[in-house]
Amino acid sequence: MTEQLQHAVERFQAGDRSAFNEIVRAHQREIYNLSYRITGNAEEAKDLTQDAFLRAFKALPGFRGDSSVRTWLYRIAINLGSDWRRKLFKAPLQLDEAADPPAPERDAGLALAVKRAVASLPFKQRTVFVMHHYQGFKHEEIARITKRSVGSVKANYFQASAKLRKQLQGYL
Amino acid sequence: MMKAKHDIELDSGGPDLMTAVDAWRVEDPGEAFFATLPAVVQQRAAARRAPWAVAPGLLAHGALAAAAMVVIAVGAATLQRQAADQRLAVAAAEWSVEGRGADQDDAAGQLIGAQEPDLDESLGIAVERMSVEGKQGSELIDDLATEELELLAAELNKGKG
Repeated sequence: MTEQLQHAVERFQAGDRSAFNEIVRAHQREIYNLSYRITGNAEEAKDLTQDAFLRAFKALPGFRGDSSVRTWLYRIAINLGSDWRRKLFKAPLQLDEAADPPAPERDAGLALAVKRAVASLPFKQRTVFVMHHYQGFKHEEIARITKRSVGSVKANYFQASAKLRKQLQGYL
Repeated sequence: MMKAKHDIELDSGGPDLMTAVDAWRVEDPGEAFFATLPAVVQQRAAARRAPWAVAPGLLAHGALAAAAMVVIAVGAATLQRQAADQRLAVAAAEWSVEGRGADQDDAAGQLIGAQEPDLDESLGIAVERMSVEGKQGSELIDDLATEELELLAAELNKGKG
């Protein structure tokens, strides 16, 4: 997969715009999942995903391959997520509370509680928790993507877990 | 192996929490979203290039006007963000030094903490870090919980009025 995508990047940089479609198809679901966990809202997540790939499209001619395409895309998506959060200065956060997947009543209550708890975390803690727990990244990988120290990432994860435990204690 | 063990040790939540948080599922945007995303991105990219592409070598009046609009929009967006960050930094600095006395680095935390005691400590720390360590407003925002950010924004808006 990595070699195929590297080839797609080279083709794109040589002028084959259609090669970009391969990159989108390879990573669109995980970038959407990350965006959804960051925003808690499907419509916002769709916009964020589109914007992330649009930014990637524009920046790809200058991509030097210092990191993998996946790492680079995650970095773009997280930066856009940080930008998105600053919209709180203009409008309060709108959690998409009515549109979760169908679930038994008790699970639906827990799901909403988790969504609210994750949304209440500071952005860095939320990002680290989402990437480690939901997206399956190791702390070292998150540190590379976010350009921070491993210790800082681990501290964020520890703090996020402690806050979630406190907020969800009624369900545990 | 050592790393994995270390990760488990750092996981303060334990398996019960980690099972519980999985109750929150990602809402599926629908296959149509993924099926059309590559084309939509390329269309949006092409649309942004269009004013320049239609008149290669010569800028028509329309293209020039469009270019001016883009420059103004980008400039306004940049200024808006800088203004938000700067407003935050200036407000925190004023609160911590001028308005509340130099001995109270966590003045903003106290101000908001009077209404929300639970937020006093974390907000105070954040403001202290910004004013003492020269932390940028944008970085501070990433460190604040959503509720703290909303309260701080509300305080700033009061100050504007």
